Amino acid sequence: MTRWQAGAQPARIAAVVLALVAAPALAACGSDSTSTASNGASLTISSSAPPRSIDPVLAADAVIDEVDVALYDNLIDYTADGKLEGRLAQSFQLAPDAKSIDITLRDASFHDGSKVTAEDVKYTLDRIKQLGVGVATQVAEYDSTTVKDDHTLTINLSKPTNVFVGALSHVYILNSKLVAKNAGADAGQAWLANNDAGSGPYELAKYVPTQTIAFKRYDGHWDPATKDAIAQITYRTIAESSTQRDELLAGTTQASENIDPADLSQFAGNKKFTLTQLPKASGTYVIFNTQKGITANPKVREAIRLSYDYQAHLDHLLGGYGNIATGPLPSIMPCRAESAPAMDLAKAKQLVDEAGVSGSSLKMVFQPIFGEQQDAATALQSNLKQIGINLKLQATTYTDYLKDLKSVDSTPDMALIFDNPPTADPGSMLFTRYDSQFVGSSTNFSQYKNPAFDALVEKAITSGDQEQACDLYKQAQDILIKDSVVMYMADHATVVVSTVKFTGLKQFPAHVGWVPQSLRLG
Amino acid sequence: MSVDQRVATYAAKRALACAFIVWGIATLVFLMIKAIPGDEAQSAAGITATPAQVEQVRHRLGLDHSLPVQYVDYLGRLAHGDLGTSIVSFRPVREELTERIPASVELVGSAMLLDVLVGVPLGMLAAARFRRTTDNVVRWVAILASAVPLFWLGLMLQSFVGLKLDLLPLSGSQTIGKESPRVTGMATVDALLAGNLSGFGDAVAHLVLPAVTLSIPFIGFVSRITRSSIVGTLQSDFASVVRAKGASESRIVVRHALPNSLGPIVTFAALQFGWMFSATVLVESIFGRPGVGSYLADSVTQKDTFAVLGLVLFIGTVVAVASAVADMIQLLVDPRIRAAQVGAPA
Repeated sequence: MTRWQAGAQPARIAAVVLALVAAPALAACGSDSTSTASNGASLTISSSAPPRSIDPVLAADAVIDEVDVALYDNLIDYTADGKLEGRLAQSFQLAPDAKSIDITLRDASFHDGSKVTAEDVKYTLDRIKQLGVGVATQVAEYDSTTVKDDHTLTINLSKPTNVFVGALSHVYILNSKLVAKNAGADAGQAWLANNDAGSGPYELAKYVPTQTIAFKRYDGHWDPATKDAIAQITYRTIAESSTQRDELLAGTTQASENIDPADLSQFAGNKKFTLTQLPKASGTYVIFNTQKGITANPKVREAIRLSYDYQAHLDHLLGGYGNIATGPLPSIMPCRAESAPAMDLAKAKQLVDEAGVSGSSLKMVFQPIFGEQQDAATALQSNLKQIGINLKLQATTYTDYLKDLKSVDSTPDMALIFDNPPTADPGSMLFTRYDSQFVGSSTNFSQYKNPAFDALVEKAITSGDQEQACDLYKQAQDILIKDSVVMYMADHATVVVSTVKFTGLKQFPAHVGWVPQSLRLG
Repeated sequence: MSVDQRVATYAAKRALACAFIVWGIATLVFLMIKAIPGDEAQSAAGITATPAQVEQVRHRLGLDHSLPVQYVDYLGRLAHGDLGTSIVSFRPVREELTERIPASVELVGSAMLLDVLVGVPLGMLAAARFRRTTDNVVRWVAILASAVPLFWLGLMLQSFVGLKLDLLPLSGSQTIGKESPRVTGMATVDALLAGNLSGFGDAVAHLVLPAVTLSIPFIGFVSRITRSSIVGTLQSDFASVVRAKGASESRIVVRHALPNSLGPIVTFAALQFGWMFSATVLVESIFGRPGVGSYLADSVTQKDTFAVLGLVLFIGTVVAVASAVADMIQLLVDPRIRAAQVGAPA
């Protein structure tokens, strides 16, 4: 080795060390503070789950929906108080036979300036049907679209259902010409995964998968209410709850909705932060196999429901954020029947004795990746021991659980799961979860068969009269409650922690996540 | 046959072995994914998809073919660089990997740099002070560093250095607004290419904590390997001769023992490269960095078969290639190995 070479190694090391030491200084050089600072025009939100795609066909996924609801317009949506309203649809009318919907479009333009037409609606719905993924499940009854002119169209359904109207809240209308230009052989899936072809209140300013999504307000949007929406919103992906907490404490993000209850205690009593609790359309449930084993007996199911300490679940497993569930549908849903559960071990023991199942064993599956499920499963196991039932716990994954549901025999006695309605319409949950035509199809989790229930729900979803449908849904839920088909434990809540004051922070029933255009600062 | 020709033949054989290993990994992982319970078509179509929609998706993704046909299709596409389509995003896996690999290479490269720059000198120091207090201190520090859980270490560094001392950013790879146009996908390199000094400093600042977290356990390992290897060399006859000639202990370690002990250190460092890619799953998650680690975690959770296959193939290829490169480096720098492998004079 030469003398020069011998000296080169320490010099390189010194350079690297210098770079590391100088990095923060360099980073500060030329800095105009951080772009995340709120001047009333921008907002940075941390988000735990990055979308792998922003293609609207996949908007059945809550994370993707949260992005698409800003970039795209839907035809129809639910207001925060659960009423249907036209969005791109200036007017809409479900036919009395619930087999078609007439729609008149308002004047609106896509982000590239071209007009939204009935052809765009047809293209969007045909594409969903062709691909058969994501929201296709929610609009499975879609048959075709008849375009009358640029602004009027009729959506034809393959069978009568009024649930379809609410499902349109997840159908985001695509700029058909722009997508067709970039479509390739995959109906534009690869292109739409990273690009915006919408007419929504925000345009895509930047998208770095797994890292950042930035929206810029679209000033050409048809809705005057969006004119004073926040000018720029940026989502930063931060998977860990504790990191989200620390970023908020450090002031580098301004809001978060994904912080674990355990980490929320850091903000309690700190006046710099505002904690807002919003009800969420999801909850924790124990699903019974109603066709096989001792859980086929309604008395046993009722006994199990009476054995659980719901208040302790809310206080300790959810940190007080959320609610004790009071019905088969989450509390945010319309048309609910209610019956609050309460722990009554004496009555539970009496029911077990009456059913003659004392000393029996049951198997319950749960997903151990969720702390709430793990703790709730252990608590229930302990409670059931007190009434003479031996509960065996078995870890599973959601995919495996769905596979088990393909037959009554392979369906576990009990399953502790999180569930949410596919759309904001009560029928979307009641029909697919409990109607006997879905037994063995992976959607009727409890394999429930009851002709009286089927008749009520099937009449409700084919009714052109929303009020009548609502009444029928309530009667159907009364049957579920009386039969103890499902053990509803807790309704979840979104807890928003922020360093800024918001107005417009509401939960919209069709969207599990934020609706960015509804937010205002100050 | 000349020495150069024999070296070239050896390199070709090593490359062939590498390809065989990659094929083996691809086959093994393909079979494992198929053996795991759960329906890929159901996952792709969505949990509430109707049976007809599940079948439609099964057909579109080619999952309705027999396993051997799926396997042959897969290998055929692989030969053309097609890693398949993600059943989560419906984008080509190759595109998704291309977006994420540079960020992980940047992180792993930086961690490797720290690993070698700190681990090797620590090992040399311990060897030079064999069985003295310094050796004992370094040994305990190395054991502690090797044993510390990455997850805990990352959170502690983040909380103390990032939040309490406010010296470095807590997470992410760049401050929003300081990004440079994407050329390589590595924030530091792109900032330099764009002449964006502030952006470079910002990217390095974001890199420090994750790189330190990732490197610390590996520094422990590499310092132990370096120490053992050098101590063995220092006890050989030639070291006694150099010592008898009056050379100082530090000179013997740096000029004589280290070059003769590089073999195991280089081999171990090459293997670490692959291990580090696997360890990025945790580090990228804690520090909110984009990369293959977070992609792997997400893909496994969502049973995204082709994405998992693509990633495992990538990591397997990195390990196989790094191992082959390590062998070639040893062949080129160590005459003893050259003599043993290709018959060249030592």
